[in-house]
Amino acid sequence: MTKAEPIFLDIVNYKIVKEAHIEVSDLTLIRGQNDSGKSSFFQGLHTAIANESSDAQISYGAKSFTVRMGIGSRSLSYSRKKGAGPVVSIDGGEPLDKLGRLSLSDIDPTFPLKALKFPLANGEAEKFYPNFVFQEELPVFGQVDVYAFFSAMFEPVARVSRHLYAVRKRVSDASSNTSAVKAQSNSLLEMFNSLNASLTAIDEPTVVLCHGKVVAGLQVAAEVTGSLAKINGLEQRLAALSKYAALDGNDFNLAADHYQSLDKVKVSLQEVVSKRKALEKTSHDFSAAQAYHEMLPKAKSLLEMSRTSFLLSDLRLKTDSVQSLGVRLEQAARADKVVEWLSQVKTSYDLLTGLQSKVTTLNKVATRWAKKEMHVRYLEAWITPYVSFGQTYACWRSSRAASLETLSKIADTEKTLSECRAELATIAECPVCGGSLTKPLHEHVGGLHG
Amino acid sequence: MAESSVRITQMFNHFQKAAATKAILEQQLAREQAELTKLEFEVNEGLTSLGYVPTPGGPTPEQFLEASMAAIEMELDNFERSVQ
Repeated sequence: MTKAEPIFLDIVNYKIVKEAHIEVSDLTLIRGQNDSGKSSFFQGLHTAIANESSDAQISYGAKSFTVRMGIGSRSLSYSRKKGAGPVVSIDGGEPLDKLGRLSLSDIDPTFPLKALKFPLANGEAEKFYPNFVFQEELPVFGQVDVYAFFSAMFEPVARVSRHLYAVRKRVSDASSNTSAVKAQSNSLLEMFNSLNASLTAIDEPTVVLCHGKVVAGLQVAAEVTGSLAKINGLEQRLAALSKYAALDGNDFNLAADHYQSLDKVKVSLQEVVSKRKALEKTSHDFSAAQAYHEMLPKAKSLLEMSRTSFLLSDLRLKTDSVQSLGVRLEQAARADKVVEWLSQVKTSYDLLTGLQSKVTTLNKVATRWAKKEMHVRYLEAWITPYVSFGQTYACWRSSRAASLETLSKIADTEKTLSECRAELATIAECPVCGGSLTKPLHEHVGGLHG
Repeated sequence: MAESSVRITQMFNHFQKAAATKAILEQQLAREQAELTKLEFEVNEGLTSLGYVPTPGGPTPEQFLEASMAAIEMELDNFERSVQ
């Protein structure tokens, strides 16, 4: 099994899986909600490989289930009908229906996929992580702990996101407080304008003059003059802060709004002063002076609120900067994480590519040596009969030489006998009995003396 | 007369010993011939199984074996070169 060989898997009417088709690539993730059939899919493959099927595995309402798989040039089809045994067909061959308890590796040991193991994770029996085991013992893909996988991937982003959410919450709270104060300030401004309008309406004195009360009104007017000095101080501070706010267009606009608000207050107060001068000229309208006196505390309050509004605006400016900084921080952290992740992916890919190259090289070497081994066996089969014959041939040659040697010895012995016979024939008298010899001595001795 | 008798006796004993030796050698030859016949049959069988067919004017068994050994040796040389 090599990575380049395509793998496809088909399952029809198996448990909850009505129909599923998967083509496995370099990295294939199978995802889905609970009880959507992920585990049933792997169990279907295990059923086909281990030949462990039953009618209960057929989908509700269906009459049979089928599991098909293709690995490179090899294919397998495993099916079961209700009330009948399983039927398997390998590489499109004749269907086999008398399987008994044989597994796929028993039926065809050469099929690349031979087992689907279910090792338990941390002893938790309800979780399983199946590994496909091929002839070369290389697991091609397995089930991933999705929670751990995504936790590891998004934890840094989640950490930055939580921090940013806290910053945004603080900015939002500060902004709502600013809005509330600003609304209150506007309300007071409207009230001030209303009072001012009432004051403007008093053009003609209608009440009795009262010198003492006019003096009191003059004292109040002096306090207003003091307030004007405070307003001038605030104006100077505002002008200084406007330079700072000019660094950012939005902040400058906010500062300009506050500046205009204070300008309106200033104009309104100047109108009050002119009214005071009118009162001094007439010295008749005590009621107007009294009303003016009643108006002053509210004006003071308005000024105080305006100052508070300005401080809140400053706070808002700072929170906006913090928010901008948080966004940049989030972007930088995310970019760093992506770069780090891509680096890890590239390292893993380089390692994988190197391993694939080594596996390919080893496969080529193994193929070459397998051919050599076949050649050696061919030579052995060729030479072995000659070796056996050579042994027989050597025995024959040795035996023939021995026979020739024996024949030579017999000839020599016969020669000796002939010489003995010739000499014995010359003897005329038997040395045993002393009688005359009528035939050679050896024949005489053999005949008469045993 | 006694000396002649001794010589004759020696000659006679020599003759009898040679005759006994001949008888033994003839028995040994008979056994060897039987073994040789059996081996000749096996050699012929072996030659037939190796593809040798005796034909008039064709190669002798020795020539056939020598040619076969030369072919095997050449094949082994080729294989050794391919391995290196």
